[in-house]
Amino acid sequence: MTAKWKLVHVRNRLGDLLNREGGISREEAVTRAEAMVEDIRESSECELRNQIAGLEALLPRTTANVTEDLMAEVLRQADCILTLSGTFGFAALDIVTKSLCDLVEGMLRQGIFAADPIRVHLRAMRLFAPGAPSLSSEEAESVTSELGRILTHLGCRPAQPAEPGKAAAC
Amino acid sequence: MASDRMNFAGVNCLIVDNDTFAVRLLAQILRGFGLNTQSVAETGEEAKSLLERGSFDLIICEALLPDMSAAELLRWIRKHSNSTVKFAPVIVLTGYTQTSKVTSIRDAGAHNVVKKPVAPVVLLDHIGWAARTPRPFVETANYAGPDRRFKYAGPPDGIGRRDTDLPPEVGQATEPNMSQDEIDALLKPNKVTVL
Repeated sequence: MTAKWKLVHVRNRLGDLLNREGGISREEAVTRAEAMVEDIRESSECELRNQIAGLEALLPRTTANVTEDLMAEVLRQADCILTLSGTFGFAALDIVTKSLCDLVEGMLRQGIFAADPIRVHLRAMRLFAPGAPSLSSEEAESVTSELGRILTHLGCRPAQPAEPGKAAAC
Repeated sequence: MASDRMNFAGVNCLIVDNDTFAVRLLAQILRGFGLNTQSVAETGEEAKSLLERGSFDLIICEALLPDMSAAELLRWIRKHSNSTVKFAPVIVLTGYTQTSKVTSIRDAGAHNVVKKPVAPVVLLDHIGWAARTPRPFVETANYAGPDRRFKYAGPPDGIGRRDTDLPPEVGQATEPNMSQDEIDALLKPNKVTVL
């Protein structure tokens, strides 16, 4: 009987290259990379504000309902914000943006197309954007817990992972 | 025995992502590692075109591209006739880590899935893992990509061994101490379905 599968032992070119003489240690590489990321902090913070403005522009004040395409676009742009907020340590903005992702995913799942819950999240993102006046931890906690109530009300809480600590929503 | 040092000079990397700032961030991290030869493709089609023309030692790809998913691009890569393209290490970056998404990327033949935002230490460990862990490629009717079986227990009852069976040393591979458990749990020991 012929095996319907093939096992190929591949020469690992990347491994060969990385193992050459010279190079840098793991610690050096990480330290240098972190410094390189810090170099673009200022422009990234500016970009974060632009990204939030871009999201706001997607939902004009008069819009009561959103389309599926628009929600997909919100998710796409929120993903860009998460990259920057997570990288540059804007923890509260990160939490609110993840909440927005959970909300939109949940709304899409349930066929809810209301603009207001999204709009409320965008306002909260503005509160935590770089350069915004800083809120106390109690105020920040109050904002995020209110957003949590919206998610609960709309049934948009992400599904609980099968095993504790084994899933991430956004 | 590989040392702790890594020499990224001359490593040719293809970044596939249409988010300008994410690309900028990633490029900065890679430059910090000493990897200066970077090409960028904004779409899956552009990536295919670059892969047809060039030779890349490492591909880092965003999960959601404007014209296709990373899984679709991966399936194209793993079926390519040119072995340099076909066996290239591919690391997929994803912001929205639903299990189904991560699973589909894994099943399309990715070496690693890294959750965004990408921390330099996590990316470095995953590149190191892709480069230094000996993993043969498996080709079946429904999967082509790096072998996902890290723990080789040998043939049942120690008999029936064929030439094509995994050598015992495949089981020696060690994983780095990664911080994204929820994703890596999906890439840990898993039997490849063999038809």
